[in-house]
Amino acid sequence: MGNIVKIEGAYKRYGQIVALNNLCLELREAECLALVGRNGAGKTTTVRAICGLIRLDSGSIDWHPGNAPTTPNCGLVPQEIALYPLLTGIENLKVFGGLNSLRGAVLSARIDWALDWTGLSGRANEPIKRWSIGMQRRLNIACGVLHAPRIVLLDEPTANVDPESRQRIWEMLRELRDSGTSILLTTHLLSEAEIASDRIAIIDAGRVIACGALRELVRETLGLEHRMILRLAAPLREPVLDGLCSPDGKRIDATLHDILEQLPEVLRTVRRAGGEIESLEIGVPDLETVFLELTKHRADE
Amino acid sequence: MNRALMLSLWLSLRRDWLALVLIFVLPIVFFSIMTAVLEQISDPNSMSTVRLGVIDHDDSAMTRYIIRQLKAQKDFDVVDLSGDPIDRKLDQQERARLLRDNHLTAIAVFPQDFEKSQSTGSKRGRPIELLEDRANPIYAGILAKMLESGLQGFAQLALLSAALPHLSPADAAGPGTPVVKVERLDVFGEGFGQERKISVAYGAAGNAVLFLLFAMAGSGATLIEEEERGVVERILASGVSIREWLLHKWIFFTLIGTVQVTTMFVWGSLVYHLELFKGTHLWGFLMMTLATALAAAALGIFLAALCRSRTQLAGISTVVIVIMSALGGSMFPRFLMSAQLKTAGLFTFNAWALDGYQKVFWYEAGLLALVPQLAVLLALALVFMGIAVAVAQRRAAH
Repeated sequence: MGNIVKIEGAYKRYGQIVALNNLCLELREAECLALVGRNGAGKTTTVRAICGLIRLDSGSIDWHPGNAPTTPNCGLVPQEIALYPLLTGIENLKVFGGLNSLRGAVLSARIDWALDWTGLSGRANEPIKRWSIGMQRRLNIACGVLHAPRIVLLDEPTANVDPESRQRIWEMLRELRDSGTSILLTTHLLSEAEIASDRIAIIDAGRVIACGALRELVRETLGLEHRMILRLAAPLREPVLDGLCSPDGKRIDATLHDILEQLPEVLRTVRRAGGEIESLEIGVPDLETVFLELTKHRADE
Repeated sequence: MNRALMLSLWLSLRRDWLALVLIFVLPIVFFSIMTAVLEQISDPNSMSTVRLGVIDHDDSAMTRYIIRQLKAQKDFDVVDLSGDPIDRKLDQQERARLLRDNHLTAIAVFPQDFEKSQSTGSKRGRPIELLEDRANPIYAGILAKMLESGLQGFAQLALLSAALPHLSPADAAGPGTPVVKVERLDVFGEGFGQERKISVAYGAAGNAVLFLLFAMAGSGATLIEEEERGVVERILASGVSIREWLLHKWIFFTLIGTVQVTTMFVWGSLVYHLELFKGTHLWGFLMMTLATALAAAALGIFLAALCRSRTQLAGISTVVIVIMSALGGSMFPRFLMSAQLKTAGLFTFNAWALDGYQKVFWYEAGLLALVPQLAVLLALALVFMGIAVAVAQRRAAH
C-alpha cells in the first residue's frame, strides 16, 4: 500500500507550548492508523494540520497525489458532537453535505447511504437532541464522510459512548476502510487502538516515538517477552522466580524473556516445591504495556 | 451566497419554535413596556424634579412671592438667574446659552412691570415668558402645562394674599379667567405635532436601537456556541473561510433584526398611532433600520469574536450596550445631557441611529438628509466586522 499523506518534520508552537516537535508520520491507502498519546501530546494538532485548519511553523504535509487538503480529499470528524442539535438527522446531513459541495440527487443518495451505514434511518426525521450520545456520535462520523473523502480524520470518535455503540462505530470504520478510505483516528483508549486499527502511532511531546502494527511495536519495544500468570492451589514451600509471588503466595506474575527456556524451568521448580497448578496464562504484552514502557520518562517527569 | 450556511441558520431558528415566536412577540412586549414607562414619565404627577431657571425683571412683591412658591414645590429645582445682568430682551443665542450652560429644561422670565400689569386686569397683563427647548418634546410639553397652571395659581394667590395689600382682590379676574398669561417660546426652533405622537416616535426609535443591541448580542452568542460544539471546525474543514462564515452570520442577523424592528414599528403604527406610513417615513424608516441592524449585528459579532465564552459575552455585551445606550440616547434623551456627554454620544452608533429616526419621524426630513447617519452607521458596521474577522482568523490560526 502506498502512502496517501506523508508528514515530515512538522513543528508547531502555541506561545511557549510546543505542540508538534519534528513530527513524522505516514498514512497509507485504505488503512486505519490510530494515533495514541496522552492528553496534550499533539494528537489533535496533528489532525488539524492535516486537514488544513492550522499552518505548521515548519515541516511539510505531502498528499499523494496532489498537495492540498481540499474538501474531497479530507473529511474531519471533530472530538465534539459537531452537529446542530435542533435539526433532524437528515437536515444535519443536508447542511454538512451542502457545505461539502454535494447537491441534488447525489446528496440524496449519499444521505440514504449514510443513514443505512449508521443504522439511523428509523430516527432520521427527529431532532438529534433527542438521540442518545451513541447515535449522535454515529451521525457525527457520517457528516464527516458524506462526501466520500479519501481520508477521514477522527478525533476521539468514541468518546463518552457505551460499549455497544462503540462496537457499532468500530464496525462502521472497518467497513469504511474496506471500501478503500484511509482513516486516521486519535484516541487515548489503548484497547480501541488495538482493536480498530491496522497500525498504531504513539505520539509523545509532539513527535511520533513509535509506529507500526501492535506485534511490531511489542517486538521493537519489549523484544520477545511473554507475560506469564501462574495460579496455584496453595502457596509453595520455596520461592519461585524471586519477588514475583503475590502476598498470599498463590499467584506468580512474571515476564519471560525467553519462553522456551524459562517456562519449563518454572514448571519444574513448581513441581519440585510440591505446588499444584490451578491455571497458567501466557501472553504477549498489550499496547498498554508498550505505551507505558515508551512513555515512562514522561510519567517520571 | 452559500445556501447550506443559510439553510443551517434558518432550520435552527425554525426548529426552535419559542425563539421563532419570540422574534415577533418580544418586539411587541418590549415596545409596549417601554412606551408605558415613557408615558408614565410624561405624566406630570409622576414627573421627577425639573431644573427651572427664573429671571425676575420685575422684582416686585408679586414675582418674589411666585418664585418663593415655585421654590417650595418639590417638582422644581429653581435656579435664580436674576443675578445675571439681564435687563434687556434676550436674543435667541443668549437664551440657548442660558439653557445649555445651566442645564435647564426651561427658563421663566418675569417681565418688567409684571405686577403692575396684573393689577389692571388679566386681559392687558404682561405674560410670563417660558423659554423652552422643544427639541425635548416630552419635558417641554409637561413642563409648560405644569408651569402654566402653577404660575396662574400662584399669581391668583398673590393677588388674594395679604402680602400684596396694594392690590385689590377685585382686580383679580373672575372665575375661569386667567390672571396671568404664559407665553411659550421655543428657544431652538419650532416644535412638532401632538405630544403623544412625539413621545411614541421618540420611544420607538430609542426602543428599537436598544432592542437591536440586546438581540444582536444574543445572536452573537451562537457563534461561541458553534465554536464550543466544534461546528466551526467542521465548517472550516469543509473549505468555507472564516470571513465567509461570519459574513453569512452578519447577513442573517441583519435580516432578523430588520424584521424585528419592522414588527415593532408596525405594532406602534397600529396600536400607538405612530406615523410609519406617512410621506417618506416608510422609506426613511427602512433605510435607517437596515443600516442600524447592519451596525448592531456587526457589533454583536464583534463582541462575540472578542469573547471566549458565553458568560464573557453576556457580561461584556451588557456593559457595552448599557453604556452605549445611555450615552447614545436610547435610555435618556440626549437633549437632557451636557455638551460633553452629547459629544461622547457621537462615538456610539445609538446617537447616529436616533438622530436618523428623529429626522424621519420628527423633522420630516427628506431621504437625502439621512446620508450622514447612514454613512456613519455603515462605516461602523464595516469597522466592527473587519475587526471581528481579523480576531476570529487570528484565533483560528491558534
